Amino acid sequence: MLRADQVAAIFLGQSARFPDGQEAVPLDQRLGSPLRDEFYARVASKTPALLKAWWSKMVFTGRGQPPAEAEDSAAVRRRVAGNPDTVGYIERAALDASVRPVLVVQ
Amino acid sequence: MMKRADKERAGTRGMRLPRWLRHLLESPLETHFALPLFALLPLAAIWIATFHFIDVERRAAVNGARDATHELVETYEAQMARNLNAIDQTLKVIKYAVEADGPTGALPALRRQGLLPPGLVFVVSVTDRAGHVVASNPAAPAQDVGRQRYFTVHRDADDGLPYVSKTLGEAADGEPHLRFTRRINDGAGHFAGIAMVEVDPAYFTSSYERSREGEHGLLALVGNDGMVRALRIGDQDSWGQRIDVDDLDEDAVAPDVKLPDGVPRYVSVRRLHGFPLSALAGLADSEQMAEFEQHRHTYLAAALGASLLLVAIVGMVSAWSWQLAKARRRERRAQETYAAASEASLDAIFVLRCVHGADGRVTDFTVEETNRPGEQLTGHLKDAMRGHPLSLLMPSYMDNGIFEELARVAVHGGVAEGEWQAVTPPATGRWLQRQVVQVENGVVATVRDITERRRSEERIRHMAHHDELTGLPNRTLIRERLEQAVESARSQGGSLALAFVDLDGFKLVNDGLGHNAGDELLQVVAARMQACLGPRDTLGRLGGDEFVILLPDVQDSPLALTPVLERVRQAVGAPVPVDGQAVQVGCSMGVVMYPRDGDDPKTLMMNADAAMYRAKELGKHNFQFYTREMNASIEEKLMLLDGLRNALDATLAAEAAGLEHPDGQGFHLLYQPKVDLRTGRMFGVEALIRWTHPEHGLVRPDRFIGLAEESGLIVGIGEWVIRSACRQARRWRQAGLGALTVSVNVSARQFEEKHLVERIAGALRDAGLPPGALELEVTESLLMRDLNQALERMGELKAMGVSLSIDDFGTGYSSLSALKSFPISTLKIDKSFVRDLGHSPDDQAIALAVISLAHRLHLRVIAEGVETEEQRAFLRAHDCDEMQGYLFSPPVAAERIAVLLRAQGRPSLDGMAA
Repeated sequence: MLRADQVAAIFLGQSARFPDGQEAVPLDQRLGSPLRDEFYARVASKTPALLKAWWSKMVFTGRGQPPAEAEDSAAVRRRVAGNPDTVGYIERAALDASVRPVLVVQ
Repeated sequence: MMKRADKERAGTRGMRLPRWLRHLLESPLETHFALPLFALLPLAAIWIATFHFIDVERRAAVNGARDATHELVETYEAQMARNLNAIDQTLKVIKYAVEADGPTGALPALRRQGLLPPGLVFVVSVTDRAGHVVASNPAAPAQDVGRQRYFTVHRDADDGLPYVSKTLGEAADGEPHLRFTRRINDGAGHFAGIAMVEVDPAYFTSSYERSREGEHGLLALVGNDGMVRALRIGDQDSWGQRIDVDDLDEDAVAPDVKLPDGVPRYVSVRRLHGFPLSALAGLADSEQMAEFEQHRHTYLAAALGASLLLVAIVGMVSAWSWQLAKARRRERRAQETYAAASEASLDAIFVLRCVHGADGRVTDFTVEETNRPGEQLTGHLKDAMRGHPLSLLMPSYMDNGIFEELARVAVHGGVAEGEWQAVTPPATGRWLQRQVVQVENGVVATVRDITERRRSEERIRHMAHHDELTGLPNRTLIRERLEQAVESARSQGGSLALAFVDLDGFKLVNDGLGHNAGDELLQVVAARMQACLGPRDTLGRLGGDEFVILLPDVQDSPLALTPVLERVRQAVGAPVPVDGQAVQVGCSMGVVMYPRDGDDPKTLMMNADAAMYRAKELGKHNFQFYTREMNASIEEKLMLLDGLRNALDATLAAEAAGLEHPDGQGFHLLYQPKVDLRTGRMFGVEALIRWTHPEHGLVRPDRFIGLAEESGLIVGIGEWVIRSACRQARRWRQAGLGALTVSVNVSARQFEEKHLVERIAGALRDAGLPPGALELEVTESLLMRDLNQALERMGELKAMGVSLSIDDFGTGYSSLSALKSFPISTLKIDKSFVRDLGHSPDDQAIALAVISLAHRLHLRVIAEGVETEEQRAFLRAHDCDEMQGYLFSPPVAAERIAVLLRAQGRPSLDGMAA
């Protein structure tokens, strides 16, 4: 299990690895999706505008690129299941045994 | 204005400096002047250093700001170049993909290949040749950009360059966008649309770091057309302003205010390659210099603090120094004042400092200061005394008690005073008075030479206790000595003797030869008496011719005293040469003994006085021991005086009632006839007073006249005599008994009365008697008491017509030259000469001389006390004019005179008288 701030660090490009040292590749939901906005609001305390400003700076200064996007939760689950480095976020309902939850946002 | 003299003086001295400057120059060493002046140097150094450091810091800060700006713009330029390059790369990739896959398939293909930029930041789109957006990532609603400049510029020309739009706010979402576009050609090389990347302008300024650029730093992307594409100052993003990039230097030298917000900044500009854009980076002057400003403030505060501290220290030190200087000046002035005062003082002043021994006690003093009288007193010079110990300078004072007194005052304070007699030269024998007061760790002794004062005190004390003329103890001292002697005799059970000595005949000398002669006599007699006495005996003078002899410690026996008393009597009785002639006086002494005759001084003196009077009564020039009976004579005297007073009252009362004789207790007059020696006829009478005491009967005049003189009753009595005599004379005249003259004796006391002349005139007027019928008889000694006054009185009486005669002529010491000027008509030969006239050749010679003298002066001569025929014969033979005495008639009553006068009318009387 990971803490919210560890997850946020991975998704904000501040950390490229899990705490155990394994490489971490974050995967976003589609831009503008409510799940994505909720995830960042609750895990990283960032609004979409703030997130955009954050990534603008990261990209402009060459320090990183935002995570790749998946079409929907199913696609996220599929790609996470398919690659142990990948980490994504989906609704609770979409959770199944193919993936391992590292953080449950209440 | 300077006076002329001042000007000249100033001219000779050269330029006169202002007072304050002279003062400053004259006191260069005064710390309170020098210190502030010297303190200006460190003060100046502090501030020069401070401003120097500030300047250095400022330059460093400016350089730092320039460097930071430079570095910032380099970084920004690099970031911009990379991003623009990436954007252009994206445009080129899209162009390639569209040209390869057609407008709709291109983007999905690129997305699959991961060649599209993140949709979160970049919106990538493709239009057809009409300007319709046919594809975009992220997906966006279709729109028409056919009229936009970024579209038309490519449609109208193919220059192979990317285009950068102005930043525009989109109507759709209200957000600004910056668009980068490139032309897409079809296979034939014709315009087929554009590839477009839209970016939020804030993207280009997102590298703004508050930690680096601060609150007012600046990042901007500006087109070469002067239009701002993106601008960030602090947290504020904006666009659309105009900044003329050509105006700006590549790297700013100084802060610039050309940017729209007017904040001064260091600004650097870099032109970017590949796009008509420039990157601007600026750092706010205020922020870059903030640290410097802070340092500057710190420096200034420190300098100010140091300055204040310096000023405060200098001020305190100067104030302290000034106070010190003032105190020193005050002390100097006080010392000068003290020195001047002490030099001017007649007293010797010694400032002495304690010298302490090992046990802390004062063992000596050192002389710190003294003055000129101090030099004279000690015989040492001031400089020789200063700093030297008292024990060395004045060793005698270490063990005569004075050192102990000084030490006591030095330790315990207070004031000590005393007098002593100096024993060391040069003041040996002088009486000195000291006053010692405590000062800090010492004493001040003021010494005054009081020798003169002591001498005058001694003189005054001597004068108070001694008679000035003879130098003998006076009444006060005699009383003291007597008291001491009585005390001593009482305690030791001894005896003492006291003798009152009164000179006999002194009055005559004094009246006759004058006061100087009297004084000389007293001195000689005093010396003689003194010579008779032992060293323990006291001779004193009570006053006048009264002396006292005190013989303490004698045997209780009058007999043992007799030799010394006899010696005194003989010594006094020997002739004394006075004023060229030998005079002789006697002395009457009254002697008392303690304790026999009284046990206290007062009683002793009273009784001695009584004894002395007794000696006088007993014929003078003898001494009498006191006996109890003597007090009886005093009582008798008092009784007589009382009777005399009553008699005068009774007589005056009777006179007022018109009675000539008071009933047996007053005065009455008897009359003794005066007879012409040649004719034998009675031509006048002498009125003589008689007093009948109610208890003691007739009292002789010699018993009461002296008492009346002493008590002053003589004045009233004498007046009554004159009035009565005048009245009687008038009565005889009225009775047709002839013009009889009446003589009245006038006493000295009466003669000195102011109103004598008026009263005599009144008596004559009242009686209706002519003045020529009254004759006043005065004694020689009376006239000699005050010659001038006597002459004046006699002149007045003579002028009135009253006759004057001199009584008892020859007994006194009449000055013959004075006799000449007396307006008298008669001289009376005293009865003491007449008494032995029959057989004493001396008395005969005197009588003859008087008669001869009187006749030469054209005066008549009358002899009194003629009792024998022999006396009358002698007088008549020698041409004496008149006589009175028992031979013719004793004093008789007025009626008897009338009878005699009537008998005289008959011739037989003449015959008898012849």
